[in-house]
Amino acid sequence: MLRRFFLVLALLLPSLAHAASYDLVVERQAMQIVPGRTDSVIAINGSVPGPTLRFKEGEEAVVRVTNRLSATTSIHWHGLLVDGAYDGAPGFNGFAGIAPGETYTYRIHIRQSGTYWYHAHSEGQEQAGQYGALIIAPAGEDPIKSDVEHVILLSDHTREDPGRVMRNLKSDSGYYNWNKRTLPELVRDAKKFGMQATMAERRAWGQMRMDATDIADVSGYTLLMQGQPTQVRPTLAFTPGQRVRLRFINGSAMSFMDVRIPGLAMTIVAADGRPVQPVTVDEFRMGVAETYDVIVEPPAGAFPLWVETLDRRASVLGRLTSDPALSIAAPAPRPKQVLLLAEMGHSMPAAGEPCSAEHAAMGHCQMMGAATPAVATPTDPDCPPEHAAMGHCTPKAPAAAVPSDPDCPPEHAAMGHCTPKGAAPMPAPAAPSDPECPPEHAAMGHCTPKAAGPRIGTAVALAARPDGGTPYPVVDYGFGKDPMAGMDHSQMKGMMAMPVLGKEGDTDGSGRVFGWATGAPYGAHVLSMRDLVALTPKADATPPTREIVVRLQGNMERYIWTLNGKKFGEGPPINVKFGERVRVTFVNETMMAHPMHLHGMFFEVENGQPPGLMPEKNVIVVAPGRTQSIILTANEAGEWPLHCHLLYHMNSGMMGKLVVANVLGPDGKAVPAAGHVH
Amino acid sequence: MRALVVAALLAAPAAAKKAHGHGDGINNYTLVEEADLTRFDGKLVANWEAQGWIGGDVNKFWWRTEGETKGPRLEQSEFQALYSRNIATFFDLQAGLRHDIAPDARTYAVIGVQGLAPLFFETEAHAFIGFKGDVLFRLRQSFDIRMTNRLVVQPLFETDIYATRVPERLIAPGPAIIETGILTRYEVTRRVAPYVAVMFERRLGESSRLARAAGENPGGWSIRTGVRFWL
Repeated sequence: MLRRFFLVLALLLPSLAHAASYDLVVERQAMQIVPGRTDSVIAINGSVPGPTLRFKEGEEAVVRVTNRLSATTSIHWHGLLVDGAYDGAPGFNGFAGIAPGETYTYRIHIRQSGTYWYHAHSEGQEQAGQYGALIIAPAGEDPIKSDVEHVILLSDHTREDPGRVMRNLKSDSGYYNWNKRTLPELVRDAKKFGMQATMAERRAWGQMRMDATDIADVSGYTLLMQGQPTQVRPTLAFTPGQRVRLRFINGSAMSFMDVRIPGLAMTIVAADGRPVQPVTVDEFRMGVAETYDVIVEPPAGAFPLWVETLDRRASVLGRLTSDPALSIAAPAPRPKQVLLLAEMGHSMPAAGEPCSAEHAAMGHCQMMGAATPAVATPTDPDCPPEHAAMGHCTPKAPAAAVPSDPDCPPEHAAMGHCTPKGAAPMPAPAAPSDPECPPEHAAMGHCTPKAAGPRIGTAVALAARPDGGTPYPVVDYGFGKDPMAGMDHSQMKGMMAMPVLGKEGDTDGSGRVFGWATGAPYGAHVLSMRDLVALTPKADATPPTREIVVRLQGNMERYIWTLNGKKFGEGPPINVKFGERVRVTFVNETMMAHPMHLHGMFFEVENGQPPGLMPEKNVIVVAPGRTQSIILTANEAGEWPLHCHLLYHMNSGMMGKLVVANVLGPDGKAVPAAGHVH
Repeated sequence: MRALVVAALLAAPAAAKKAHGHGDGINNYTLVEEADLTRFDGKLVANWEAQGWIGGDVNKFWWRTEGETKGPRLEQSEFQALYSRNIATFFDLQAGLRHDIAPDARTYAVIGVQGLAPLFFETEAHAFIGFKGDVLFRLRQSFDIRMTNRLVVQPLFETDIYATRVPERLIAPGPAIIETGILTRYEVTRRVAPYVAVMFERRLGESSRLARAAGENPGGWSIRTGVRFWL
């Protein structure tokens, strides 16, 4: 009892701190977003996006949200460390949403700084316009120095009702794909690759009943920059000589975006609100809900800020200019992609694991069951049983016989992906003695000596197209690892027989590029997740004590998306003890990239950086067929949504509940812990 | 205030997942696959074929109707009401009732599957067990060939195979009726697509002879233009 008293006292004390308050009114309105037409939107305080909320670290934020919709709504503070009840996700922490006509008061003790955003977490309301930027100034000196800043909230606007979009997807999952392969394309492919190879490839896709052009599920979008489409000429002003901070927020419902400012180097200084060691890039790819802070120092003139979606069907052109009279032109659009079957083949369920629909369709699951020969010694520590069962592990001796570069797995060598070290435009490898740089990273050129100045984006390894190289380079965005890298693919029965027409970066008969991660030219400095290094080392860098595997699965045809085979509410929650440090490994078994988001806490991304320097994020993109792990210190008690931030994936089931608790209730079930350790 | 929240947390029941509305929405779909008016045998022939569903990811109510009028006369009409359950990644198992008004009133129990077969073949396979003792099996497959992302050539094939004789309908056992052809549609939007269908519909074997003997046309070629749309 006494403890409770002190707890209440301790909780009341911070309320004496300065409080910043906002009133937000959520309302359906008819609004002209795109010139010449009026769309029905959900506006906050009469605008789309809603107002940019600004707070200061240490403040007590009070936000009163009034619901003038006819449906229950909610506002979630994306990336904010909050008490569970104020996280704003209905169905979690006892929060039931904000009923029509009601006002809900959020109280948040701000204990972080950086670039964040807020959005509805109910049905499709976010898509209709219910989102805005949230910027927090640090209590002390800002580690990121700038003279002027612009908030660049990017979003995808549609005039369609989000419920209708979902219904369309459930009825015809290819409804929005206007990039499907056609018969004339088949003829052109046959001319380029031969009829037999082309038909074999088409047949393989047809057997799986999957679409090689399924890059984005929804189209018909108008991209907006701070609520403005290209026609309205969104403009960002600066004075020559200024250090300009651009706070990029991908506030879209479904759109991955490539961001670049041709002619201007961008320096990434923060990701998802957390400062990182500066990385200079020409472009970066933003997953849905990610935020990046970028510093540019443009000379006098006007620069195109060009943002396009991955399916290349929507774009927005902003004008970064020192003179309002100057105009700009959009750069040439990038080629469209065609997915490779091989991308799919890289993730497979382990023996005994639930088999995703896509794998079942590919006949992988039968293979699993039929697998009996233990090619590898069962005791081989390098060979997990599920791989052994698949015949993926070869005895040590032949493996040792592989003559080549240890950094270059045979299948990459075979694909021509490995180039002599000298050819890479990467900074010189760090001294092997660098404690923060493990040798294998040094060898890959991932570690830069501290004194060498800003890092450079390393997603594109080659400065120029090598002789006989593909027209486009392989871009490794670092969105997860290839779980089969280094394995002897010739041992994989059934899988590697999957026909491909070209290598990643090659073009098909119609000029489309093979591979999800393509489009950037040779020599471009493109941000890779590997390039992100925390600005300030984290004190607690102890290894995680256990691993939680989350398989990202789906049935594209029926438009059902799941985590570990379960739609939201079907499976048990993930229980983590308060203070526990766990590794969460996302295994993407689908053909789509999923931006996985955890509420309430930051996690460290296992991106190859040494412990303590791994970047903290709240969204991590897992590319098709890839595996990505994060480390989570469960230091915020509560029930936290863990979900794919593609709105229609989440709404069709791709969400789970992560419970951080240290108490068992009378019914034996975990109860969220009370209070916080600050 | 915070203490209140803490208390609320402690007391919070497993919050209803319904509040969130994720994952288990009820949707609906109505596809009018064919709706056309043509001239055949000197008469105006109206033809329709539609289906739709309402339900969640696993359980659906599925309905289907098709029919034809020739001049003022209702030549053929059938309605199906089915329970449809997702049993495999790409397939639903369906069971329910079919009722025909013309050529004669008749009711059947229906069981079958509907889904997407490998190589993107839209497939419907159903067995009909008539309350008057007639039994037939129907297979329908179609396939989309995209000339462009809007111009789609769709070969389709449908056959009714009877296990029993149905004198009232001039049907003999065996493959009694086939309908095949190519439907070319232009997707103005995904939901509205005018089409031209070149179809061959004909009775086979003894069923054909029975029809001719009764003075009826056993079928043949037709060109139909109409609109495919969904709501």
